[in-house]
Amino acid sequence: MKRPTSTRGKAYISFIVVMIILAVIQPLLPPYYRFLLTEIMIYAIFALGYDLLLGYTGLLSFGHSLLFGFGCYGFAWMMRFYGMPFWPALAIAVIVTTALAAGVGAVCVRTSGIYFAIITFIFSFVLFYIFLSLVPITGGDDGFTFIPPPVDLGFISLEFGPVMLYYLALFWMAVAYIVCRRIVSSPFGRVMLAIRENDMRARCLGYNTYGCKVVVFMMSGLFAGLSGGLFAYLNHFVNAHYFEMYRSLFVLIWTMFGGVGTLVGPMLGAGIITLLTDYLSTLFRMQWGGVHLIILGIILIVITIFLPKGILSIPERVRRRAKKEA
Amino acid sequence: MKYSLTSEKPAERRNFLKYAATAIVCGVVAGVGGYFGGAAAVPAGVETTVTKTIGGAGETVTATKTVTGPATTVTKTVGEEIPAPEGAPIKLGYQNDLTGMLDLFGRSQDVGFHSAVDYVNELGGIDGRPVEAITEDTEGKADIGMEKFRKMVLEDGCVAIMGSTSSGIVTASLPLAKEFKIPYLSVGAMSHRLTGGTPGREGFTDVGNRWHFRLVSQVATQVAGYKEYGFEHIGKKWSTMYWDYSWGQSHDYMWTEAADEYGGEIVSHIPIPLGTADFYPYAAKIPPEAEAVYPVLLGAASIGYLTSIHESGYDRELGFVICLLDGIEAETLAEIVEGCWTIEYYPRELEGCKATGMGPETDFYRERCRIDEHGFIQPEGWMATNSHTWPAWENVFMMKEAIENTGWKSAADNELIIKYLEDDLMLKRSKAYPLGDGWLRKEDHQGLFPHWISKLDSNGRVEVVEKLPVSKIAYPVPKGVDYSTQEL
Amino acid sequence: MVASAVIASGILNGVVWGLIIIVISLGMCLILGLMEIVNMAHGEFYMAGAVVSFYIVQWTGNWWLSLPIAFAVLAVMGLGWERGVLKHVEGDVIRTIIVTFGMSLIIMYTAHLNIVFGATSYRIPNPVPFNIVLPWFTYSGFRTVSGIIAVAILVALLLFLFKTKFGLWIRAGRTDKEMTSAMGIDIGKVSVATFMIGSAIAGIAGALVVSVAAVNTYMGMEALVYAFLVVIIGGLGSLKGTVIAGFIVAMVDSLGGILLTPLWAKVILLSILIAILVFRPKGIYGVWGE
Repeated sequence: MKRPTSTRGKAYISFIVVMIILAVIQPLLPPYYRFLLTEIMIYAIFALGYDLLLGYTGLLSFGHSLLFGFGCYGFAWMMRFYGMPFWPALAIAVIVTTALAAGVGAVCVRTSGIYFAIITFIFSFVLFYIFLSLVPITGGDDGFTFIPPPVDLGFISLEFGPVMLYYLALFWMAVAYIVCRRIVSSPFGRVMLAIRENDMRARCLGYNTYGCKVVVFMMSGLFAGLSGGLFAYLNHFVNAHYFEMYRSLFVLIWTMFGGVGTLVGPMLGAGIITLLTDYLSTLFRMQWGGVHLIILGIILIVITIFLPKGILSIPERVRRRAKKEA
Repeated sequence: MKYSLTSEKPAERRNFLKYAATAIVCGVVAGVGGYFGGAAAVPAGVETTVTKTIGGAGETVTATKTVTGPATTVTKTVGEEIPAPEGAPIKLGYQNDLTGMLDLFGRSQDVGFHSAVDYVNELGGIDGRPVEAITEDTEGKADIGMEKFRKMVLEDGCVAIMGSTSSGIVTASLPLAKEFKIPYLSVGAMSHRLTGGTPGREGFTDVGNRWHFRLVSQVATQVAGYKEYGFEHIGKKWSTMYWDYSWGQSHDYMWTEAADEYGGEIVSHIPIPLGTADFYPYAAKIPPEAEAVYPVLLGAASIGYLTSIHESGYDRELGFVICLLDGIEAETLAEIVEGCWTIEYYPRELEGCKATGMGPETDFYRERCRIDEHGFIQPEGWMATNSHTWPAWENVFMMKEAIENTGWKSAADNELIIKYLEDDLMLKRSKAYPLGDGWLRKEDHQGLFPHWISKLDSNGRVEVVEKLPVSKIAYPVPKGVDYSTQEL
Repeated sequence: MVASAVIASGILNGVVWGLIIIVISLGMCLILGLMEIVNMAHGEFYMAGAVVSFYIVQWTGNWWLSLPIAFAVLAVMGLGWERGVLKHVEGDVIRTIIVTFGMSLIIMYTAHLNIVFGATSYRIPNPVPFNIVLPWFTYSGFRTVSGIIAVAILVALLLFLFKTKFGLWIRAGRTDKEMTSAMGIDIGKVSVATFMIGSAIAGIAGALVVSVAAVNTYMGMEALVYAFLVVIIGGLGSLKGTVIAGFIVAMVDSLGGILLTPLWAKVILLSILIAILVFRPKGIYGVWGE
């Protein structure tokens, strides 16, 4: 068993290496893939928040699409009704979503396990329908577009454009990852793990598990809001479908596929699954709408049964298998 | 102001002498064949006959158009033997709704699109180059629709994109069309906001732009054609029940306007949130004083809606545009919709086509798209969305015509296509344009084609009653809308 | 103001819809209580039942026949999924939910393929062409028949659970799995059978609504949400709770839709859910109440 510090050191180095690679390859990417990668990095932020909840605290949420949608709309409303510049709008999106997560979390985390999953599912489904119907506020199915403002860095103002968006997403993904890493390595991270392992015991040991779970839910909401705001900015468009349940489904697949509870896994999962979906849709172009979802369903089942810790666990399994053979 | 393809009596009388003079000029021009390019159409203008060659070898058609000034022509002859297409392929993309609420429409249109591309390739391609058809699924969601738009343009290299049936997805994608300078050709999205909207009216403002063209009928043309039937034959007091989004709201707004014109009244507006599956509560809200209901729904929901209406005991009139039943075979609904009047944008029944003077072109079109005489796609056996599929076919030929009649070589020349298409393009009935004489208007990029008033019979079949010429459905260009003056 | 006739039929609709929701939710409740499995694909079983019924009606023209067939087909399907997929994640609640979610995707989108059912929705001709004529309004004969059959199913289910040995085993297993197993009853087989029964009655519920709701591949998700609402409000694992909550949910939905708007009905339902979560998280009857 390796000592924690050297693993952590290794993790940071690999992280820096990956960030550098992503930063450098940008000019080499064909424009569509640059866009796709920008999207993936935004999704990675979303997945990070989700992993905090599922991987480290053991709470399975089907309602994250709600938080993501709020992040998107928080940003978009600020754009549309107040014509705010980029940073305040993003900040508001994050604050609003975190506040919402606090409220929803306070109600939902009283339950756990099955309950929690079901309840978040219900919330997500019903609230989506409600938002779809509130046409004057959300724009319903049509939604609304807005003019994306430039990102003002004080000394320089970056116009809205594909290259800028790429680095913006990269920046925030890096920040999000570092923050999440700090959280899970901190004492609070230990409490999260304790709750995951055995909620009752943690409570008996004196921890306020309810409070902790709400806080984790809020943090998850924070990242969801951040990624939502950036997503809205990327598309300069929002509509009620941003609240739709399939986003919760996807974040779950990314997390399970990549490796739940590893932080890196969900980000990797976001990348691989998005690229895979894109590839599949190219493969099955005609008259086979929905096939890629069947395949994702199969992947989800296979991964959950045979590789419950996701693909990141493959090297470890191989090592273990090799050791067994030796 | 009404525009008409057929000569209007006042114009004829006024311009008789000018007509004679230009007829001589056009006689020379017509003999050679080519395309026309000319100044904007003005009501009191000169009638010029120009000939264009579209479609297969030797197929020449004559289009009549009112222009000021002489028409310039370019000669393009097509020989008898067609060489196989070669060279860099021209890729046409389709932002299709293969899953989601509009999947009924998507799969039908996909057949039309691919059939057209196959035929064009048989004819030697466009400009001798093969055409490649690329379809991507929007899943009925705007952000995915936008992503696929980007993918088809950036990654696959499509030079033009055919649009989704969802007015919402089209609205979201319009800025992209402008950003990437890609002609965006609508196939089924019908909100009137996409070509002009209602200027000055909150919530119904224009969202279109110069890169967008819509051949297919839309709410404004439908209401223009249907309102007389609605208010004179069906009833005066109406209740509108509509999907609460761009398309449904367009209908509600325009039908209300039409009511004022005919002394009718909308006694209640009932918006239905998207995603509703149980319509009974809405059926219960129909006020007793409503003589007729104007339902604006489509796809899978229509059946549930009609069933609920029926069950709630509603037994008065129903008046609807064909979108409610397009793609749905109405035999199982016959008891509910029997006797209802509707308006179609292409007759479902072949009989209706023949009865209103559509010739062998429509047989050809139906054969290539595998649509049988009752509107079913064979051998699969599902009902095609006949009123919404023909633009998928015609758009391809419109691109062919535009590319071959300008100097277009690659997507960098897309501006040439825009200029060509918005030059009051006339689409004469042919294998390429089976629908019949139509016109793509310059200011709002909206297509004007005949419509058909039909009635549902006791077997659920849609029987054509009358064909409405373009003059009947042509609504005025929304005030202040002129995309041709927009910057490219 | 809404006419009294409309309100009356709204109440009846609520009753019939309530019965159907109860049937679906009981299926879920049985499975949940005994196996601790939350079957996210339960709604899709309901949809599959409707699709099967639709095809039977198409081929034979006989709707009544489609009921037992839907039952049988779904029982087999349930068996297949349980043995093939669910067995591997037994015991792990989270993984089970995820796996069943994957199942629901597969079922829903397979049905969506054109070769199976396709994109469009269909309505079958009304198998019960007469309507019940009451003093001041007419009610759909088909809905009445569906309601009666749903009642019959419920009665049959309750008799099965409370009067047969197998039912006893199921109930015993729900109360204390280990003890029951220790008493020599093969709890594994009982579990599988329960899953089959639960899925089968969801399927038959689907068959019951084919003429009312148009059959389409998206109907499963909505049914699932209702089933969840009922199960949470009633109390996870409580049979009595499920029945009562089923009626509450259906009535609120139906009457709320008519008197207010369906949107408000959903808001009210959500508020009830939140209230339950805040004040009585175990639901009306709590866990394991019979």
